[in-house]
Amino acid sequence: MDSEEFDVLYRTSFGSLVAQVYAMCGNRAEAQDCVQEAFIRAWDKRHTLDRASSPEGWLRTTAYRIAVSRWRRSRLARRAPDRALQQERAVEPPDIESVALTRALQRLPVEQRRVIVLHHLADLPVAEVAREVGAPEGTVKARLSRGRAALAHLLSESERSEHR
Amino acid sequence: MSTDPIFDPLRRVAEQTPAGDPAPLRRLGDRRRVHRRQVVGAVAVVAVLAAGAGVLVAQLIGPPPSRPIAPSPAVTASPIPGPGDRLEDAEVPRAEDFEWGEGITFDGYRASVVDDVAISRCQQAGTGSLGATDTRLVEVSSDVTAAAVVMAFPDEAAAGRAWSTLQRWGEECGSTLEQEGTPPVVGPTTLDVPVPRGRAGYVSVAVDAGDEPGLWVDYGTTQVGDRVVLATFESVGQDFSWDAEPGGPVGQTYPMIRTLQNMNERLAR
Repeated sequence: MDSEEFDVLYRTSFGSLVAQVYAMCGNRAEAQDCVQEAFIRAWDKRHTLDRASSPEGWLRTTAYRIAVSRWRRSRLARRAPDRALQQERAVEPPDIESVALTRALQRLPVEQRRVIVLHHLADLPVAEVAREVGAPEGTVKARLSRGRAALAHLLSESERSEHR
Repeated sequence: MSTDPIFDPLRRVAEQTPAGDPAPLRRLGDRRRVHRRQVVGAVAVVAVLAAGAGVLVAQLIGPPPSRPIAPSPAVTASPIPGPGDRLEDAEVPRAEDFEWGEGITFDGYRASVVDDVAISRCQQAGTGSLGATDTRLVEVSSDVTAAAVVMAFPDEAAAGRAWSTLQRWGEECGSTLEQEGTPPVVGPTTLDVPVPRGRAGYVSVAVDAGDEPGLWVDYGTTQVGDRVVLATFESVGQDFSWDAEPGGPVGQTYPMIRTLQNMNERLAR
């Protein structure tokens, strides 16, 4: 992968990856940091990226692992998560709907959340989701169905409580 | 492609998140690659260049310009080498001094005279900043990356200052790794190592290796009189269980503890 290909990959997938990691971890600024860090590692180890069947899948998995790792460390150390990068970045203020949706997603079991993110936000077909999470297609379909139903219930619950 | 409108708010997040300029990310990636090569490859570079290019070597293996360099201990100006200022072959660690556990052997032994070398990512500068009068680098081949540097100093006080600096680099390894963009996920943990003579210390830290399992960095130092050894291991993968003290449940102390004790004994003979 040369710098031009890397830059194209970065520009076309950064926003989508941030949204996916945000959906998984529930913190948008943290999601941006983790995706940036994943891109740095991708460039550092671009031979690994060349071998990956899906560079975006590699970046998504790496960014998610970074997010999980930071969460563990911040819990262990009882301190704010580290910031690997100091690059100034404009972050749009969160809109109410995305916050409500992200909060509801955080209440789903992690495996349900993961397949929902991969299918509905990363736009992967069920077969690819199954490959990425290492589960049979039937299991993925069941998680998608249960997760989607739970999400609808949680969002309507949240709306009801707002209207009270 | 999913078109479920319930996820539209997060799709908007994707559209509203500016990607920015990728060039700084590539530069950071390049820096890491260079730094890793410096640490891992410095041994070979130094062995080739040490004969007449000490200054160039110091620049090659020195820390990145942005990394603050800790003040070096006082160095005796142009010491005139005496008999004790040169290391004897018997003082240089051997392959059998490096210990790990079942399944890991150290061979491919190479020892060379160097002026300045960085063998661990915990080092804040090359060993040339410590003021040694003679330095030998020992490399061994294994699945575990292992190396050691033994240094002779004009006197015990100079060696003590160098040991304290090395020890401090180990204790500060967490912040050094953070500055390099690879913050520790475990440790650093500092342990005193019981040795027959002099003193020894050991720092263990693990960093997240991204697509690989964790990278464990072991950094050990020992001083006997006017001699100092720095030893390092780097291993990728699951950590093993070891005892911090003899007589523990595993039946074997940490590899770096055994390795430092071996190297300390060699210097104490």
